[in-house]
Amino acid sequence: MQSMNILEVESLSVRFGESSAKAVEEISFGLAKGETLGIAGESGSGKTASILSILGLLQRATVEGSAKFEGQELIGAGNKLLNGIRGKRIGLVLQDPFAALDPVQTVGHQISEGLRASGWSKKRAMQHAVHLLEEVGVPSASERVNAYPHQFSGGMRQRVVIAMALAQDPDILIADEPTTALDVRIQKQVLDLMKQQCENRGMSLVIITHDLSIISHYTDRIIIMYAGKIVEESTRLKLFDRPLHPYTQGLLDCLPQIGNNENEYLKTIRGQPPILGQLPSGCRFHPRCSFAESACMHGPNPPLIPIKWGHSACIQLEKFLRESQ
Amino acid sequence: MMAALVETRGLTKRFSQGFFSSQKTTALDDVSIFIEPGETVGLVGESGSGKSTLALSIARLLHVDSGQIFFDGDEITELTTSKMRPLRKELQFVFQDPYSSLNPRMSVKAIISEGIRLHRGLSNKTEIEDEIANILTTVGLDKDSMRKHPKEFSGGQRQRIAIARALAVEPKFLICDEPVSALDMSIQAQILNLLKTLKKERNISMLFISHDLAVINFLCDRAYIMKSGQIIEQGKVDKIFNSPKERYTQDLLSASLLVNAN
Repeated sequence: MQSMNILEVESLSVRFGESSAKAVEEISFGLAKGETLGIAGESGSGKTASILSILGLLQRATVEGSAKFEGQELIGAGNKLLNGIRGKRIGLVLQDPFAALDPVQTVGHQISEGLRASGWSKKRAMQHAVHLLEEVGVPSASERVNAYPHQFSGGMRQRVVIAMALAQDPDILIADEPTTALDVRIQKQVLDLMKQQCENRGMSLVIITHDLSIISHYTDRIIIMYAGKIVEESTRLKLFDRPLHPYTQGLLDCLPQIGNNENEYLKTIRGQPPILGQLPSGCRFHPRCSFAESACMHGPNPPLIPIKWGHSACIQLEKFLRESQ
Repeated sequence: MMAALVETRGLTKRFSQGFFSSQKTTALDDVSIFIEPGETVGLVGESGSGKSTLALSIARLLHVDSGQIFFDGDEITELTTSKMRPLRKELQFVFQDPYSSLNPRMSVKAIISEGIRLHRGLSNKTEIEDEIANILTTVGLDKDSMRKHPKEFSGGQRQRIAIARALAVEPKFLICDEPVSALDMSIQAQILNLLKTLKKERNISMLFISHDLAVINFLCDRAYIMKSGQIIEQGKVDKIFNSPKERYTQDLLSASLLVNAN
């Protein structure tokens, strides 16, 4: 199984600046070809930092550990190697389609930029840009290719960004909060489009989000992060029925639902996420956890332990599973 | 029907699209809504549908082109700033972004006491401090927080401060414009519960703006659905969400991804 993974991340840690606190600490996961993976967590949980560090896109950060793309080490690799992978083999879609596009270049110019850099002729690259715009559902693509970003709506801009990411037919598409800036109806269209494109191209998809409902619809495997650590890894079908960590359970409980108004109040997770640099000892979730015992507070930071269908970092897992049933 | 606390009749507001453009966008198109005392009313719509324009117009922070606004039985559409001032006590606002809505140079005490002094006439120092401590406890913050500045708080805590500031003047009516959409999931639930408690214990009327239908469903009694500056559907929350009449509402509901693995 291991060798089939197109991306293999091992003991990845990220520190910013001179600080000794780790924004991401020793996380490991794999991504198989064609797989859809969701990484969910609250702000500051390290979900974006972990992905950007793999692509060498974090400035003033110390990255340790290993991330191998098709066996090639990316951590510490030079720009020459990374430039051959960024955009070409791994495409990236970021949250804000307003910031991701250059306002003074036509969208066609921006979509075809990577292709031209790889030696395509201007004409052929532009033709391909039109084709890509058609694929991502931009109407009258042959005219719109010459339009500027401000002439597009938010949803259409995100389609343009997706077209850019798809331009060089990457093996992995990473989308970091791709629809947070968009309205719900547009959100669904954009997510459907990404999923469809990944299926058509046999591409792997990684969606980073704070929104559990997105991963519950669009990704098969799910990683939940808290304070720089992976606390649970599970499957889409299992995570929502049988969470393997009290934090995941807490997140699911605190979501308001339509058609379920039995409880007058929402269950909440007490307190708030820790601040980097003031991380609690032991399990980082213990100050907010109702299952915590002294081992959780004083022991070492618990590692991920394999369970039948996933992994959990909860050392009280048996107690948790028994009592939360 | 009970006398409404807040009512709008045929509000219309158009914005010009740019300095040199003669084209105008209609942000509000003949909008009539009402909010009864003690009622929490949701306002749902996509960006650009006119939700915030409506809220700002009701609070008289924006001038409408035509139509009427009533508060507590009186028309307030054309009230001057000074005539409006006593009403500011009754009508408070909680904004989306708790980072930009609090003055970074004021202590929490100063932020909250401003309204107390202006609108409730309290001037005794200890009285004011006791009152601030009370309010901070109500919104779930430690009373010592009053000596700190906004930068020392997280997003959720800042939103609690913003709510405390609004409550400090004992308003009858609270407008919340996307108050939880900038917050993390676990914090969002805390703030929603807080608003629900306030609604029950203080009998405050609320206009609650959100794009998140599940949040509206949790908190509101009734809701208006807005599209392109018009109210296209309204009714009790369970009714709208269980049997939406308009195609647009149905679309919104089916596009709202709910946690569902199957």
